[in-house]
Amino acid sequence: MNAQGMATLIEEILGALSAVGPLGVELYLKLESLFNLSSDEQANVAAAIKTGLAADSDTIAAIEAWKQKVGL
Amino acid sequence: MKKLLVILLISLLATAACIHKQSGPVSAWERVNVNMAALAQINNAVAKGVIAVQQTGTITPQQAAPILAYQELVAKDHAAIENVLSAGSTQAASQSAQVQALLNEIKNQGTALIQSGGLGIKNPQSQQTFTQDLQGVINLAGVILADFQLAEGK
Repeated sequence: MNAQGMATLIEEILGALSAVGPLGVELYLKLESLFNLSSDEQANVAAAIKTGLAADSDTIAAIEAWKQKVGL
Repeated sequence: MKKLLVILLISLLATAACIHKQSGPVSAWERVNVNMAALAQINNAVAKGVIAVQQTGTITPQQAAPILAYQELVAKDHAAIENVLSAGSTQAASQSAQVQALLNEIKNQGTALIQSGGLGIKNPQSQQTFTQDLQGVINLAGVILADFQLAEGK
């Protein structure tokens, strides 16, 4: 990676961290494979959508289970 | 503190050095979709953090309920947006108003929740307060909204 590429990368990382906060560090680790984007835009988008929907399902299931547990 | 930041940056560069495509720049459309995945992952971490904190007895179910109601709203809105995005960029452009309305709902409801107060408790999953976590979700929704408009060529 050349100097300009490195500068862009650092800028992107800092931008994402400032938007998300410290949780962004964990996020980057989780999404590492996703961010290693291939040259196929279609495949990248499909992988991102699949990841997002899996997280949504997990979130909704966890909240619904919690509601049942506490009786709400 | 400075040393910690340097270590953090080095760690990030070591682990996230592949945040680029194997060939060519990342398109606005790819950025929208990757950030959408990130939003769902953060939302998941916040929801699980709230549940964990509630289960330790730090907050009551009544205190946790409005936060988790928001996390569930984000997950459902996010899934609705993904359904539009999965049909492709042309379809997404034709349903632009709906996508933007859902992103704005995530932003506005989150802001209202923060303003209601009582979210200064630390999330064990992120080591920051729920206010900061929710602000992260709101900020990311704003980033996606801007990227989406960019992808539309606005």
